[in-house]
Formats: sequence, structure tokens, C-alpha cells
Amino acid sequence: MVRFIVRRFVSLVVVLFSLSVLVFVLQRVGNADPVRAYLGPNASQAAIAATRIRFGLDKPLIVQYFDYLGGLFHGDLGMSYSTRRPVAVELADKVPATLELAAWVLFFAVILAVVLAGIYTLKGPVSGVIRFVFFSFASAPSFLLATLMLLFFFKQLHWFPAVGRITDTSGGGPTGFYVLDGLLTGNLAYSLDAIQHLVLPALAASLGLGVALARVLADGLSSGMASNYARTARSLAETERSILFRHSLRNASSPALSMLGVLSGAMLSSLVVVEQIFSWNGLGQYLSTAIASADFPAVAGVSLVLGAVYVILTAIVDVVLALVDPRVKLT
Amino acid sequence: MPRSQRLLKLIGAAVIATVALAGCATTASGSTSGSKTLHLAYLGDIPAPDPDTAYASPELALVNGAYEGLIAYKSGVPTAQLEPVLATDWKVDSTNTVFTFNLRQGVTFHDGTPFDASAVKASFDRRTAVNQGPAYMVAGVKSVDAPTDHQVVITLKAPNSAFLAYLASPFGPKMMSPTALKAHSANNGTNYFDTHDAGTGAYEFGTFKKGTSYNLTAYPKYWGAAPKYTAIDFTVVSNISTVQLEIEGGQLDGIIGFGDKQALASYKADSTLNTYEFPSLQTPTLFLNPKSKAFTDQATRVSLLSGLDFPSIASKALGTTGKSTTEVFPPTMIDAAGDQQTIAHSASALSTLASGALSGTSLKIGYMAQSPAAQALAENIAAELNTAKISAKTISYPNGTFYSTMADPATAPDMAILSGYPDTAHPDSWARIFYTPGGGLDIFGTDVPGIQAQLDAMLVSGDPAGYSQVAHDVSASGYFYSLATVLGTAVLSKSVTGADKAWNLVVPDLLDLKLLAPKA
Repeated sequence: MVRFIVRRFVSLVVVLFSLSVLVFVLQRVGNADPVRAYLGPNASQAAIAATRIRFGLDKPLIVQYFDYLGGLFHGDLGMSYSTRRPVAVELADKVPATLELAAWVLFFAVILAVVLAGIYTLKGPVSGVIRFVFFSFASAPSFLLATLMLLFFFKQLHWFPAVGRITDTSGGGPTGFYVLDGLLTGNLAYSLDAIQHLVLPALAASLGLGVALARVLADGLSSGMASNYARTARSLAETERSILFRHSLRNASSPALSMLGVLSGAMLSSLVVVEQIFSWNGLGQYLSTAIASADFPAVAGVSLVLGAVYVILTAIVDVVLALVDPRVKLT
Repeated sequence: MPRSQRLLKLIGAAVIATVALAGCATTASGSTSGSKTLHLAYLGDIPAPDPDTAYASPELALVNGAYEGLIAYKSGVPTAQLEPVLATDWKVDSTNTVFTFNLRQGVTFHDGTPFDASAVKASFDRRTAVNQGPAYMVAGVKSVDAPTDHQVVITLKAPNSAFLAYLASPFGPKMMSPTALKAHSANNGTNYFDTHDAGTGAYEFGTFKKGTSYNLTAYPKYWGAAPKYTAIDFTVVSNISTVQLEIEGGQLDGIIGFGDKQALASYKADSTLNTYEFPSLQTPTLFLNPKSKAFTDQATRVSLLSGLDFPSIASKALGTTGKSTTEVFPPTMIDAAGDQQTIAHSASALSTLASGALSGTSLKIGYMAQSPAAQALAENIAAELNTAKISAKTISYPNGTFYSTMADPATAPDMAILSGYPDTAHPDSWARIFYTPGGGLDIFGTDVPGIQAQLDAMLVSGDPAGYSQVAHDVSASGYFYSLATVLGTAVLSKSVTGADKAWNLVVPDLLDLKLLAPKA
């Protein structure tokens, strides 16, 4: 276990370092003018020169990079050029929003995958129709799904809100995870309101992931039900349902979990679009604004956080995989 | 029952219960009609609404709601008129150097500090110290003297006939409480004043949730007529489609400012809404790059501009959100008779160029990515050129790279469109910024001989007649063409009144919030 943690920590450092170099280089080869973005179009030449020095943009590129890296070690991600606030402070607001949404996306995706996989293993026309319907939805890009959900569940049925994370924005809690904050402060209505806001964006982002997982899971279940251990279980008078859930599901989980780890990165990317559509005040919305305004510290900050989240997510998936499947060893 | 099966059933039940509970709970819906809180949308998040850094129209709604300057432009009128705000009257000496203001009495800042002459100097000093984009407006101030508590005398280092316009601008210096400035002097209070105000306006900053919502509440001791809405909530919504759904659903009362002509047409069809199109000074301008090989010759530039059918291009590109212009300066800035573009339309000019000076040339037309008006104009110009067999394509540049790309001869396109508006209604604020290399928005750094000297002379004399010569020289150069004027837009529920008197001429998407009222 110690070896596993050390290896993952090293890979985390390598990923973050590579990301920081990549984003830094990309920003420099682009034609961005952060000082103009920071000061506004009518700034005087004197103000532009002074700000260039203040941000260290007059220094050699390599010095700028190591200044930035030095700041990272002290938790200083720099100052956003467009909002003029420390990036670390901005991310402290955005990260919980995106992580909360991501957690619900994964939750919905896993539930959907298990339910669909169960249905897929059934014979008959209903299974085929359901497979076709979900596959069609999963083929649609997430922005289209999100828009359809808004039109149906918000505009027509008035079931769920269209915008934001919470109705009463004056409240808040210790963690920034609103569902959890409501529970921690004993405010169930707050948690329910947060869930209401979460359902549509989480569903929009989870559908494709869930259907993809379901296919892998269903294949595993089918081959599991035809395997030697299933035959043995049948000979011991176990019911089909028991064989499915006690034996087949567990065995089929390994490839599905591996795939979940891989797809987590894609899921984080799709959240960028979903956050835009639902005005979800998370990393995606922040990133799209930052890119448009050539806000390097903000873009780099989000990239580093998303990189770290991806490495941690895959590590968690590996741990779960080892728990589910004793044949898997953590190395 | 096996453990895994029980677990699955439990999860299934939890999901169903969660969705059912969430779905059955009442969403925040229902009309806001009759409410004393006005719910408006922000299309995307805003930078900090600090009066000395704010330099885009969305955050100006908050700044100008909570802060006031000595004077302002009168709202809801199509020509610029100065009106008193925290100064009751003023006097300018014959050299445009010494400006004397008598200050309004009985005014308090939101922290309770009485407004007097000391606030003027403190506020000017802060703007200078913060030294962001709008700092140029006070850079020429030599001294701020206070003969009495209710009079200030501002002396400039050099004559400046535009100085009153700076003070009246929505971007202009706002009065801030000296007490608050002293209490939050670290780093000039630039973090504190991102979320707290220290103004005298009809509204105070309420709860700010960065990226989510911004709230203004009525200031109970406001010196003027009490605002009719007790609170104004701005909700950040990322896309115009969702804004439309929220307005239709009654969660929002409207949105001020957006450049989407399709969305506006859709709003117009909704009988529960009022759509507004206000006059403005925003004038999309076509810049021809003097460093482009295609445009080194003035005759080619003029010929290209004369060949394009700009009224048709403006109509197709902007619909009802803008209109074609024949003037060089934004409308009403100077006398229209002396402001006409000198290039007359010639239907055959483009075909002559296609087989002559621009034969085999491929033109690039750049525009800023987040400017729908500039994009639509660029695409229509490219279409007209391509129809005339002059190869042209449009290129979108992100806001953060637009200016630096234009300034770099290696990367700059042959032409570019910038849909800008001046900081003030004074002609110097347009001509100096757009037509002189040091101005900031002369994006290719074009230097038309003699313009700078003419502008400098008129800044001293204040004689408006000289701007006609500037208009003539700019137009004749063939480097610039004013394409259209873009109207300010707003969509508001019919329960909201007063917008027709609240719009701002200088900043297209800014309404004087205290003039809005719920329908009786």
C-alpha cells in the first residue's frame, strides 16, 4: 500500500510539473497580452510598462517560469489578470462546485450502468428498446442533452431549476459542497435545494458515461453467467439472481471500474460544457472565461487542479478495484 | 436476500427518493411581477466592481448604482448633456485649466461619513494610486484644493477641454468615503473594494457571490429620491438561451445588454416582455492595416471602401440592433454636417480591384471573438468581397490576444473590425483613442499625419469646429471606416418601468438603476 501511495504521489508530481510547463509554453507561444487584459484597452503606456514589471513579464522566460513554480510551492497560483483576484482564492470557490458535480455525475453514471447492465442481460424486445433509447441519448453531445433536459424538465415540467447551484445564494457552509453543508448545518431544505440544482447537470454529464459503462458491465455479466463458476453455483442450487448479483456482478466490475478510471478524464472535460449551460459556478465556467481573456494564471491553476483530480480519481478507482477483485494488487 | 442485492435495492430506492424529493420540491419559479426586488441577468461573470478598475459595461451597473461622481451625463437623452450630481454647479476658467465645483450638502456615504471636499481629493488620489485603465482621467490633475468644506478647485497641469467629460463619464472618478479609504488603505483597498462599496449612490453593495450573483440594496439615507426597487439581484447566467428560458419562466425580470440579434427578435415576439433599443455611441469601425501589402496605396484603400455597400452590410449584420452611419465620429458627438465620410459608394470599384490591384490577393479580416456585432459585420464584408472575386476570409481572435495580434506586423490581418465606444461623449475621447497610435484602440498603430497635433490643439482651445477637419482627414486616409452604430439593448418584463428614461448614451448597456420602478 505504501508503495502504491508513493508511486501515485510521484506520478501526481510529474503530471503537475508537465502541465505547468505545457500551459506556460502554450501561453508564451500564443499572442496573448495579459497586461492589456489586466489594465483595460485605454491604459497608458506608463501603466502598461509598470504592470509588466509588477508581474515579472520583463524577466527572461525561464526566470518567469521558476518564479511561477516557486509560488506554487507556497500555494501562490498568481493573480488572475481578468478578475484581479488571487487565483487560489478563486479556485477555492470553484473547486468544490466542480467536485460536487463530478461526484454526482459518477454516482448517477454507476447507478445507471448497473441498472442498464441488468436490463441488457434480460432477453426480449423491452431490453432492446431500452438499449436503443439510451444508446441514442448517449450518442448525443452533452450540450445537446443538457439543452433538451432544460427544455423538458425546466421549461415544460418546472421540476428542476435551470441556473446555478442554489436558490438562496446568501447562505453557505463550511465545505462549499452544498448538499453536505446543508446536512452539516441541519438545514435539510438547503441540501434538497442543492440536489434539485444538481440533478439536471449531473444527469446530462452522466448519461454517456453510464451507457458506456453499462455495455462493458453487461458483456462481463453475460460471460460471467456462462462461466464455469456460474455452472458450479447452479449445480449447488443457487438461484439465477443470486449468481448474477453475488458472483457475476463482482467479476464484471473489474473492467467497468478500469474503464471508469479512464473515462473520468473525459467526464471532467464534458463538465466544462455542462457548467456553461447550467451556469454552474465551477472550474469549467471559470476556465472558458480565462481562456478567452488569455488569463494564464487562471488557466494554469485550473489545469493543475484538474490534473490532480484526475490522478487522484484514478488512484481511488484502483483502490476500489482492488477491494472488489482480490486478484488485483496495488503496486 | 444476498447482501449485494440488498445494497442495490437500497441504492435504487435512494436514487428514486432523491429525484422524487428534488422534483417535487418547489423550484424557484413564479413571476416576480410586483416584487420590490428586481431580478436581472448577467450574461457571464464580471470582474471586480471597483470604481477605479472597472472597465467593462456589465460591472458598471454595480459601480454606478453604488457610486456617484461630481457630475454625470443625463440619462435617456440622445445628445450628451451634463447634469449635476454631487456637485450642484461648476465653473471652468477660460483656459480650460481651473475647474471650480460647489458640492452638494446633506449627502452621506454608505458608511455614514458626510460627503465634503476632502472626499474629492482622497478619491482622485486613490484612482491615481491604483493606476489602472481609467487612471488617465485624473493623470492631468495638478492639485485639488478645498477653499471650504463644500467647494473644490481642481487645477490641471495643462489645459484640457475634455476634463468635464471625464468627470461625467460612467468610467469617471467616483467619490469614495475618506473614512473607508483610510480604513482599507492596504494595497489601496483593491481587495476590499471588490466586494464592498464606499459610495453615496442610491444602492449599496449587498451579498456578492462571485460567479453566481451580485446583490444591491437600497441605501435608506440616499440624498435624492428613494429608488423604487428595494433590492436588485444580478444572477450570472452563462448563455443567452438559458437567460431566455429564465425570463420566460419568470425567474428573471430581464437582461440589460446583449448583442444577439436572433435572441432579440425572439424576445420581441413575447407579449409579456418589453424590448428596448437605445441610441448609443458604439460605432464598429473597419481598420485597414497600413502594414498590409494590399493597402500601402491610398487609392486601393479608398477604392475598396467605396466598393463595399455598407448600408446593406450593416442591415444584414445587425438587423434592428444597429444602423448604418454616414458619419466618421459616433452620432451627435460633433455636428453631422462636418462629420460625413468622404468616400462615396461605387458599384464597380470592387470588380476593378479584383482584376487589378487586389488580383490574386487573399485578404484576412479579424474581429474580437466575443463581439457578435463585429463578427457579423466581418462575415458580411467577406461575403461581399468574395462575391466580387476578391478572396477574403474572417478570423476570430480571443479577447486576450486580439490587441497583441493586431500590433504585431507578422500576425496582424489585413483588416479588422473593432466594435468600440468612447469613454465619454467628448470627440477627443473618440478621435484620440481610435485614430492616434498612442490612444489604445488604434489597433494597427496607424498614424494619419497631422491628426495628433490637431487634437492636441483642440484639447487646449475646446473649439469643436476643428473636429470636422479631423473627420475629413481620417476618412480621406482610407485607413478607417465607421460602419454603423450599435444600439444598446435591454429586455425587461412588462412589470418593470422606467427603462426608456434610464439608458446611458456613452455606455450602451448601462441603465440608471434608480430610475427603474415596478409597474404600479
